Amino acid sequence: MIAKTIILATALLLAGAVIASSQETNTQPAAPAANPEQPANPASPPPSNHAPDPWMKPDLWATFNGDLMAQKYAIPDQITPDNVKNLTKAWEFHTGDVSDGSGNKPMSVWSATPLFVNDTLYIGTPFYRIIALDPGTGKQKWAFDPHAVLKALTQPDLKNRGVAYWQADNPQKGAACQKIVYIGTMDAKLYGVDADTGKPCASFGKNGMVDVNQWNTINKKWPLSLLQPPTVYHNTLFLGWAGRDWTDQADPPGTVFALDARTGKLKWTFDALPKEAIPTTGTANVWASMSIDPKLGLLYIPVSSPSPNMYGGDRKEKLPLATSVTALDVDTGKVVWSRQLVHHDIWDLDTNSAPTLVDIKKDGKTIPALVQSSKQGFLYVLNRKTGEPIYPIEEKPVPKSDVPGEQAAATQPYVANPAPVTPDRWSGVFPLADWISLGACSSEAAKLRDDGRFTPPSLKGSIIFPATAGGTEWGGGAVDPTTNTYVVNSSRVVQIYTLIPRKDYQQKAQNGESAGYYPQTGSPYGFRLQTFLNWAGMPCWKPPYGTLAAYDLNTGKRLWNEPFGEVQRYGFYMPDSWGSVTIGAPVITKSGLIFIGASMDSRVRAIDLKTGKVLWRSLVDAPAVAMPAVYTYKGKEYVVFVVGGNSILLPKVSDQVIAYALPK
Amino acid sequence: MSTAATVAETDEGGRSARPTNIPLLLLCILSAVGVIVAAVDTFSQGNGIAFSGGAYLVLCSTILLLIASLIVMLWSSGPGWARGILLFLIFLDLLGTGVAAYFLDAYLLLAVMALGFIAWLVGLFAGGSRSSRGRVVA
Repeated sequence: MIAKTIILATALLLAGAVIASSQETNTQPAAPAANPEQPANPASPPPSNHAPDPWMKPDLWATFNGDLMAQKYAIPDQITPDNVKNLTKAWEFHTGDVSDGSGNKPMSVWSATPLFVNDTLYIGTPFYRIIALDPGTGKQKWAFDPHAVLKALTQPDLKNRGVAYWQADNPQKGAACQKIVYIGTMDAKLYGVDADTGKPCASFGKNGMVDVNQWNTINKKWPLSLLQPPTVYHNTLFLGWAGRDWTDQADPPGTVFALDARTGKLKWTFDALPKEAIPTTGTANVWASMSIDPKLGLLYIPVSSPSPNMYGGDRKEKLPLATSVTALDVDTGKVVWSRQLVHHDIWDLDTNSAPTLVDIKKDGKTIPALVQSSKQGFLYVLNRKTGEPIYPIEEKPVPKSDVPGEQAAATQPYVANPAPVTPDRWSGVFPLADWISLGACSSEAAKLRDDGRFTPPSLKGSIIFPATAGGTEWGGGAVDPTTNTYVVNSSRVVQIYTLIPRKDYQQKAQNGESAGYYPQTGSPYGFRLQTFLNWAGMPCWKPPYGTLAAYDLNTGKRLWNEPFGEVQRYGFYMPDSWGSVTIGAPVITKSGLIFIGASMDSRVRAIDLKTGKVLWRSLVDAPAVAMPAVYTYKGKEYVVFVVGGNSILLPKVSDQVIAYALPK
Repeated sequence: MSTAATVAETDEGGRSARPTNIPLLLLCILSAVGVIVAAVDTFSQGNGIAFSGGAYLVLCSTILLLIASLIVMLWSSGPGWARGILLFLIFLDLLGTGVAAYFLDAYLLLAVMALGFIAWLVGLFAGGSRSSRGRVVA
């Protein structure tokens, strides 16, 4: 790979990872139900009269994360590190639901994890259809089309992360809708259809549809986009939503809805923001997946940052549940405990993935733990009963804001062990990128404010690392619960945040400047968000741009940390040692393999859990930015990837579903 | 050297015909193969580089390589400096296309360019230049 690095000097102009920020935000309402002014702390855990739903067996892939504890752990062990090199395509299916944005539809971004349950593979598409496939052949059983509005109402692209599945504990034969598959749409409609036939369930909402926007009543500016499938437990759907970030100061406040899985009726809601803060803020919603400890009866939610995302001068009151991981009582939605991960968030560091739940062994004790990955690159390992840190979280002094009106938090939580997935400082100017830009990278860097982690946005521009597009994205990590080895992919992205006083911002808008500018209407500042690239689109910072790492959760020690994937630009692949920005997540199998797509280079890989070495890889039609599903069907183990692409990585999209298995 | 590199074609009547430079002929053939491989790379959906700028680039560069190789082979009466420039440009094309193929992970195209480079080298040192033009050797 050294050769590639050297030769690069000629091809380099082509390099460059266009990395934008990945956000989904949120908006939303406060509806009827219990919503206390979030005590950042504790009640006691609910009585443990809970247990896993009997139909959700460990050999299925029945939820977005494989199981409710978000372990992403597959028990099939037919495919091993020794034979994975023989893995071949078993079948392939194309949904037809794809758009490159050139027509009248926005580009599609497809990150749906397929579900394997009820002897069927269920997938949701970015056109919000549900398709049921035969798990062994990929042949279509049925499809449901809600004829959804295919417009960029909140997100710039048509996005979908899949479907959810529920079934009655004792399904009655011949009766419809004893098993239901759900899909949400960008315009806030949640559909429930019979899992065997694909026909809408009349008993669910109105003729099979619940309009979640009926509860969008405060600071209503856009629909509550249902891009992430609900989490299902005990006949209840737990539902968050995504909205539009960065455009307004006051957005709909983040609300989590608990709905009856059969009827769609509202059971309870949870709001992360206190009512008195609503006039000048919003969001702090849950746009990623959630996890559940069935025995404790706790729902763990990743709460995003409040609006406006880059300026907090008008929301100085404490918002303890914003940018937090919070545990709710599954039956009531009441806060059991909450831990804020970023104080007074002015970087858009949404908590963005379901925490992974696992019991770890430390000092001779078994501790019920959770691991929360983050955009800021920290891995927070907490006692999931109490929210208390298992590995220390230190409050460290951080740089002050120099923006009039802003008051950054004096300290921020810092985790030294496990080692952060991204370093504390950015890697410095990449000589190659600097040379190509005739020194523009270094001269730009010299002009910017750069005080390390949690440097606040500034009027002259601040280097932010890790920034909103960095660290670990919505997929989170995976864990092998037999060894407590935790694996997580991450990205290293340097971004520049510049606040712009309102008058100047309006002038720029009149001048037609728009790319990278966001108004935060209602606040004194708009802002500009740039990824630190040179004129050729090449990152100004030194690689690697993405890594895959493994940790021993019993000690916190990092076992290995390898550059992962390859940057691809104009078709050219950059050296392995550079790694790739990643979106997606790994799955671990019992046999000691990691399956993951996630990289820019449109490849899916099998990696040795012990060493981090790539054992197998296969080319697919676009970046596979969804986590795979792994299951055994009729005696054969399958690994299924949805290949949809993501405009954040590359303008390359697909509608491919591809299954791999060992040859007969 | 030129004995091996340049052969005379004779017709059935035993008359001497146009001399053929085997390395240049090989280069032409390999260039044509390069065009085909690059075209397949450019238009075969699902190979990771189809319809990318890099794929179009190597398609163009291999077409130029083919044209230049044909000119050098067929334009035997051209001035030496012109053939020299063309041979140099062919070298750059082979090198550039090879590097591009390497970064595209288009290893078949890279192999073709490597063979082409060998043919170019042999042609250069074995009489592909003006000095061997017109000689009839068997």
